Amino acid sequence: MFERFGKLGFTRHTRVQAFVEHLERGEITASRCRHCGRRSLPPRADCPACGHGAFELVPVDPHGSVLCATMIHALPAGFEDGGPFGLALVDLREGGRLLAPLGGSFGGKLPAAGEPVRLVVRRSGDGDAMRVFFTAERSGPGDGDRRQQEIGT
Amino acid sequence: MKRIGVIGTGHTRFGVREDASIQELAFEAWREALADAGIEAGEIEAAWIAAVPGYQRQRSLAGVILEYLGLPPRPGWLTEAACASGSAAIHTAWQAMQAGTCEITAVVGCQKMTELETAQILALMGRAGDVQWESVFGVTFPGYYALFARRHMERYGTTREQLAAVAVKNHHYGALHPKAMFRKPVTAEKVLASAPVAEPLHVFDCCANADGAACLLLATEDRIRRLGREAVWLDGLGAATAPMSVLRREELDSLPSAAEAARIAYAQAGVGPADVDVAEVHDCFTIAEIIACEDLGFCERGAGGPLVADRRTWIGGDVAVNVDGGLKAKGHPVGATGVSMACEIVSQLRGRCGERQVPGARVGLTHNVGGIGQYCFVNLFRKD
Ligand SMILES: [Zn+2]
Repeated sequence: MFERFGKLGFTRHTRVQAFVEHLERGEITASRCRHCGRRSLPPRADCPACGHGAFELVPVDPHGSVLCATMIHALPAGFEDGGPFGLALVDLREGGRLLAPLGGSFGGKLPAAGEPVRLVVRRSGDGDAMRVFFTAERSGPGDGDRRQQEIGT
Repeated sequence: MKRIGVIGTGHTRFGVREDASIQELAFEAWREALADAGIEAGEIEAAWIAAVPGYQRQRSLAGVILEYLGLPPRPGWLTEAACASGSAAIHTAWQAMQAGTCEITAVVGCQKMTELETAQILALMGRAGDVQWESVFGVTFPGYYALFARRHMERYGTTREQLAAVAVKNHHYGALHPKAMFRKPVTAEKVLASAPVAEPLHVFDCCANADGAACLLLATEDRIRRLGREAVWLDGLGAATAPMSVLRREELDSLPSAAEAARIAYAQAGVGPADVDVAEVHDCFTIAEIIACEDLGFCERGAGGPLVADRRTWIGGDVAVNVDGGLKAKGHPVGATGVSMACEIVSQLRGRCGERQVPGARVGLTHNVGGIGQYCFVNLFRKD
């Protein structure tokens, strides 16, 4: 199940596999410890703060900013076909960090540190070949205002 | 705590070694170390083999090597901490000697990487990080250091020219080292014009896979006195870890494991960064040497680029860094690297390095990083 996550899966079984189910419905989720409330992104089943194993997955605001980005030219196994591709580390507004491929809105250019971005959930393929992931896209002015207001109030 | 010293070193030529198997490479270093120490193989009470098994076809790798060295029935096994396996083995041997289980030990680091097929190399390259959350998007081993480099450049103004200055220095000294893989100087222009690997890192910002072995013989102070030998003392050992995932590290402009290992090692040896005459640091990529100099306190955070560009880490500068060519020019047979670093520092403190000798060197340091910083070992060596 979890191996559907990303462009190429390496992990089949995990207690946070519902992350993929949420992603299929268009939502990126973090884990929240049911005992102490600690939030983790990427999600993890066992709380790093208190050690409890009971958790829930909660939706996260997909807006954030670039910590740093790179363009991969020497391509690893499974990525040989598409040519060089960009990757960014994205610090989410509500905390946590994800690695994401740079989407088409960057036009093959690398974003600078601090540039605002939005993670957009993507699906490709069908049936057993179905993959679910997200890309980092440029986040223009006004984009995400609603959420910003929510956080502001 | 017992004082423990190095009584012998052995080192093969690094590079493409189509003339030898991994156990033959190990023996080459072992034979040289025994001769250097003037002792017999039968006097070694225990041995640790440092290697990363994922690069070899042989399973139970240490068993094959220990047999070839003639160690049975004495104890020995594999110590693995990715590219820091060699220093992890030194640390383990030191702990066993502190515990009193043995007085004279061998650490043998070895790796044979050039037999790997391209498909295997590409597969390994794509699984360097956390496979659950990171490798799924194709981030490579150079890709992680490229992210560190971009962060350093954007935060401190470090330039590609400063990265290239690391390669120029290390190739300059590699050319003076008879056992280095690459023995030709390079120009900054050539580094800058080489093909991109992961921006901003290009081919000449990266070290090369290699074959090779290195061996270190250690003994307790009592035993060294009884043998009537000279030693280079291993007076500070720092070991630390950091989150493997770059998603769970606060910042990317430093390896927190390195800063912590350095703090421990300096405190144990009772010296500071300014006391270090010669250092071997883990320059798997040019940016890694710049960050290492900062983590070790050779300069302020963010000042590593100017430090190397101003030639302050050449012989005659503040501290001589990687004057054996480093991983960059000497080659990086991963299991052997940490042991090789220790061999070079011991040779420097004994004044045996010829054209690349640091005059009057008395305090030397090794900084050996595993993977992308999930492990780091910093060791301090001293000649009385
Ligand atoms: Zn908790």
